[in-house]
Amino acid sequence: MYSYKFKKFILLLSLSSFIFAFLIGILVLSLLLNDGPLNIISSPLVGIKMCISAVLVNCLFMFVLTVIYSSERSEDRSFFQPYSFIKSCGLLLLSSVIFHIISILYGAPVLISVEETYTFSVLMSVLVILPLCLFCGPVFDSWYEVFTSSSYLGIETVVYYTSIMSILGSWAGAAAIPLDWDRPWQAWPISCAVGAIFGYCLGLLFGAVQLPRELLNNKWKVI
Amino acid sequence: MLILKTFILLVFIYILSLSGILIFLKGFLLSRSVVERKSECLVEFALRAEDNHTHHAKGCWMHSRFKRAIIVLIDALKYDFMEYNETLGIDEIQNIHFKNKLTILHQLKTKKPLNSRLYKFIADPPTTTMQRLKGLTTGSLPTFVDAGANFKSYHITEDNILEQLVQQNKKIKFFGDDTWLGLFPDQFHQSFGFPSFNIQDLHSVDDGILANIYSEMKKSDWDVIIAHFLGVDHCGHRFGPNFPAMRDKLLQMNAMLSNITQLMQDDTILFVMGDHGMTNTGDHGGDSVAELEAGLFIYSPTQIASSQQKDDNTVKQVDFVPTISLLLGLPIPFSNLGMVITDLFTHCPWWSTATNDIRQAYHKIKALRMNAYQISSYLSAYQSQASDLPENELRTLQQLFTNTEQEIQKYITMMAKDGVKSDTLSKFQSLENSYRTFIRDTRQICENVWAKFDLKWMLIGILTLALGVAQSLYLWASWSNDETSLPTSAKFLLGGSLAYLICIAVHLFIFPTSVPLMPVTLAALLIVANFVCVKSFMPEMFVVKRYFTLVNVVSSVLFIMNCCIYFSNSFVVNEDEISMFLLQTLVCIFSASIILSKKSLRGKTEHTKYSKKSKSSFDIMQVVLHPKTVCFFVCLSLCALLRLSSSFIPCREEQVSCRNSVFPQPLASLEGATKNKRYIFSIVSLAVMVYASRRWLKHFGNLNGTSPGVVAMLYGPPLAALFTCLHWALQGLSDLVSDSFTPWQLALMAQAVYVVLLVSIVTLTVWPLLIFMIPSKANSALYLSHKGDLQHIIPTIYNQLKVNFQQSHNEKDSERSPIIYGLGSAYSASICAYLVLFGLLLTLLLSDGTAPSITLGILVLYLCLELYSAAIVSNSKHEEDMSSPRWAGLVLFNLLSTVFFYTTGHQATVPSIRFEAGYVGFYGDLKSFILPGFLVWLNTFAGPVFFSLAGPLVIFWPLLFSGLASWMINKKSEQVKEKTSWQGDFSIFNNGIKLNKHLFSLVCGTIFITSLKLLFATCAAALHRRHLMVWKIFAPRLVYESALFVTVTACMFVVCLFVHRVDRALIQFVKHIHPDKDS
Repeated sequence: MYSYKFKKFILLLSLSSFIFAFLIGILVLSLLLNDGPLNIISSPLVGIKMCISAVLVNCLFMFVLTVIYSSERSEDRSFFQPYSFIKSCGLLLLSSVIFHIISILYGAPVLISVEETYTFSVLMSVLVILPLCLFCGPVFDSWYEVFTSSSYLGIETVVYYTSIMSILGSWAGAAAIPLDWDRPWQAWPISCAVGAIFGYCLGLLFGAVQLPRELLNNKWKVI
Repeated sequence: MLILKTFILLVFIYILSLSGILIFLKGFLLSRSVVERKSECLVEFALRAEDNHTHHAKGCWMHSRFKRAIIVLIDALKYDFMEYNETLGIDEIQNIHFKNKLTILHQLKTKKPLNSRLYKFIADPPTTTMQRLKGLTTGSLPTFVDAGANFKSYHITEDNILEQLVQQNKKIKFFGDDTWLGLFPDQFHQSFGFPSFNIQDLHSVDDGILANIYSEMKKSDWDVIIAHFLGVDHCGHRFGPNFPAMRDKLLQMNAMLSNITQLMQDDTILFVMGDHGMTNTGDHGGDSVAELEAGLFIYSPTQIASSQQKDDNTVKQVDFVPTISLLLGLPIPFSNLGMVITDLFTHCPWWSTATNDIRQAYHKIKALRMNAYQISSYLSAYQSQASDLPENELRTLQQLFTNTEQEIQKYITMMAKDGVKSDTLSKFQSLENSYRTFIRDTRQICENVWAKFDLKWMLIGILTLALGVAQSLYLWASWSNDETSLPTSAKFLLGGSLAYLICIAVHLFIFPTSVPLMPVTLAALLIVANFVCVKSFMPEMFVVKRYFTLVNVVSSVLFIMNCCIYFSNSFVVNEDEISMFLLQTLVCIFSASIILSKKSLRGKTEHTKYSKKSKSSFDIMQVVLHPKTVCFFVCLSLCALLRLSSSFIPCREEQVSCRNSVFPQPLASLEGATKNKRYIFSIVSLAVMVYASRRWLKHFGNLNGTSPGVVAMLYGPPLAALFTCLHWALQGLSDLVSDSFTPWQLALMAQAVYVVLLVSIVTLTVWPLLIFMIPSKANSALYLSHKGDLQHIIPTIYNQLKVNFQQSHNEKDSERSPIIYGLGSAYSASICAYLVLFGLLLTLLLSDGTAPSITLGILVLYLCLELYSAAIVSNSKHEEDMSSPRWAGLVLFNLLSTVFFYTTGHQATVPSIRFEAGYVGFYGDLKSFILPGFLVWLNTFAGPVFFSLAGPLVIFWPLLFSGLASWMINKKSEQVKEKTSWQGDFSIFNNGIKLNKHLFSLVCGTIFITSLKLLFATCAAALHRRHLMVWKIFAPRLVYESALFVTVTACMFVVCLFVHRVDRALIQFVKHIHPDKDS
């Protein structure tokens, strides 16, 4: 059976992802709809950077939560070792470059709006790779675990949903680009970035719903 | 027997879908032949009746009433906008922004009723500007396919009013929408064209016209001024008719009109017209009353009519052409179907007709007679050229025409002899009515044939196509199961479909007027029955959960998305990018499924949640050569190749931000360094293509020995490539140099390529096996000394038949079992060889600019097949079903065909057909159009042809376990396979039924996929038949999709027959070395 502390941890996690899903969603909506200087349509770079920082805050909060509540596994947290830290940073950098390349392969312009594309790729690596680095360590094998077998209950469930949903969201966001509506938000990184963040929020929501359900189903064992 | 049966079955489904699309297109595509003849000034019938000397003005068929004309075309000017409603109050006028704004028309009409006329000006659907301009200038009815027209541009070749004006040395000035400049490139004396593309822009065209028109009008160097204003139309599109911006626009037009009428001189006539109306939302294109009712206002400072306008004020838009022709003293354009507006021919200033009723009537009849003569000669010219008009009715009409003509001649002679009698007027009245009936009925008949969507045919077409889809799905599902023969229900349903085909044939050709109740019911029943039967297979599918893999689900979703593209105009316009996007996604999913598959886990039996041991020694090679990394890189390089190939896509007109790259242009038009670079690039890519294919064949040992097929493959492709390069070099010469060659010299190289490829293909068909046998009795040591390079081939290629026959034969036999090279890839090698030969043909036809895309296609094909087979092998549980073609594979190939249709330099538009391909290697005028047509067709569908010829590789490739695929999946499983003797695709040979079944499944699946896509395209076209862009976007897309369906399936048939031929040859081969083995 689960320990009381673990149950509390899971419920807190669920609650916080729920709240963060809403907070980030509202942030993106306000970025989309306000008329001020922070409008993501008129200044996409600033908007995307705001979103990146929001996601960073979210990840940090969750990270602190996991560190506090799973003290018995704290020696597992290879993140605190300098080697892993450097490796994580390197991976983040590498992944942002790879995301940049992938965006270009998928049809982003090569020479113009390079900064937008790169900001978008940083956003993608923050949405997808950062949680994996933070919560699973910079080890491919444990990332692999997250996607193949959902056999662990915990922050991995949320990470699973957010990373898949972010990628799906940015993919679906591209559908708006070819339409002939002549709206400013159809310009290249905006719809994809917004789609990615909405996907992330949706992933958080899924995680928030899934965590207590799995807890009730009680078919997971804690190691 | 079985093969024949399956073949007939497939052909039957093919015919079912094909007849569906043909029936639909017959109802949907409006078509007519274009008669290229022009009307001439001096004609017999005009001379006989006309008395030019009595008039002060010259003219062709009739004397010219006006010397000059001003045509003001205000796009989307509705009759509502022009009509003045005096009953409206002030506040009502303020609320209805389009009403009573053109006050100048009202003023002129009330002040000078004999000088002005206002008509409802009824357009013929489709009410799009391009079609309307054709109607307004030629007087004929618009259709989608003006067969015989110049396909390269939208240039009007039919006789038209502008052409006639130029013939009579009249000078035309044009202002406004530059669509006209595309339609009439050289008719204008002077033109001020402005781009019309941006619908959001209300003012730039109109302001551009207004800045020039007055000053140009004051000059005297013109006879006809045409001004085409776009603001009203754009305002309607953007805001709708009832919006303040429309009021401003109409007031601006009003000011313009009053300025023009003040500047006009007495010898000038003014036409103010709209080309179509608009709906309440401001759109147009369809055939609702609001869209059809444009307005026409005619005014001249001199008197134009003898009486006030009567209530009957509706004219057709085609009536404009004969009216203005005769008023200006021009011949009526040859293809005109309109009727002169008789109201304008009652007054003749030289005859004092004002008081003389008989003269008025006579003048009217004279105009009508010219008109009728012209229409009659058009009809006979048309009938000699095409046969789509109903003959009987036309014969009656021609009879009416001749009778009237005789009567009028008789009457005129009588009048000249006896003078005017009391019944003359009524006699004239009846003559006028006969002429009117003749013209009106002719027009009606043509309209029925040319300008109406035939909803009945469209419906039956869609149903037939849906039946084809359902039938192919059912056959596919039932045959993919493990039965050896078709279930009874399938036979029953096939019989039903046959009965249905007969039923619609009877219905459409024998009782064309009846309501199609029976075929519709039958089709609906059959479709439902098919789906019920498919459903009966469903439980098995659901129980075996293997159908719900990641790859299958995602590929289905992507396929459906690809189908839904047809429903949105902007998606169709950008389809090249979108299908590329979907294909890349599918590729990524393939590699994701390999990465995530259980099999590629390398011996991970126990797992801790977080692996503690972060390796202290970090080996970069281990990471790079890790199967998953390799897989990732394969995926990345595939995406990169696809992205590279997108630079060969030409831009279509609607893609605003698109810029053409250097590749789609002809080589001769390039300059210096660019030219050389591109030529060298093309040659290098061609060399890569030939080298890569040779390398692959060598790798599997298929290029050994001296069998004719092998020799053809050894020398054919390099020779063909060499000649192709030389041909391109000749094509790239500048005009000056190439003029010094005779035409046959320029064509010689291409002909050499044809000969080489034809010989190779025929050789390969006759001797399809690319294998080489060393008889066991031969001294192998001696042999090796002859061929030094065999050592490094042997480890990979050799396959001993020993393994196959060991079970059935005793030890004595095994001693003399021969060594055979390339048996393990007997099928794939032959298909690849075939593919390379066809690829070279396509390369030649594509010309040097876009030819490298075929090289990219070969590389993409290789990587895709590797990825596909790795995904199959890593996800399949049973060894045996590896070769059956998967749904995902079919979708992959379909997407590849679509993408490479675009990347071989095409777009789904009519002007992007590359007709120059028809003249590759032929210098003179060919008698028939079959061969050039075939070549153009091959050029247009180069990508789809290539990838459907590669289709059967889906069956054989997963059996090959070639290097990259086995690298991407677990290496251990490869070692296991090595031990149990690698058989390659020869393993399928022992099971003849299995091969046939796979081939059937492949072709049937392809028919299902392509006809389902076609069904979507058909439904989209039927749904959008009133859409603004239907003739520019949806209809061409549908036509291309149907041609694609025909092409892909036909190629599938061809290549499957070839595979069958290989199979036969292999059977004979095995019999030859083992005569005692049966079957």
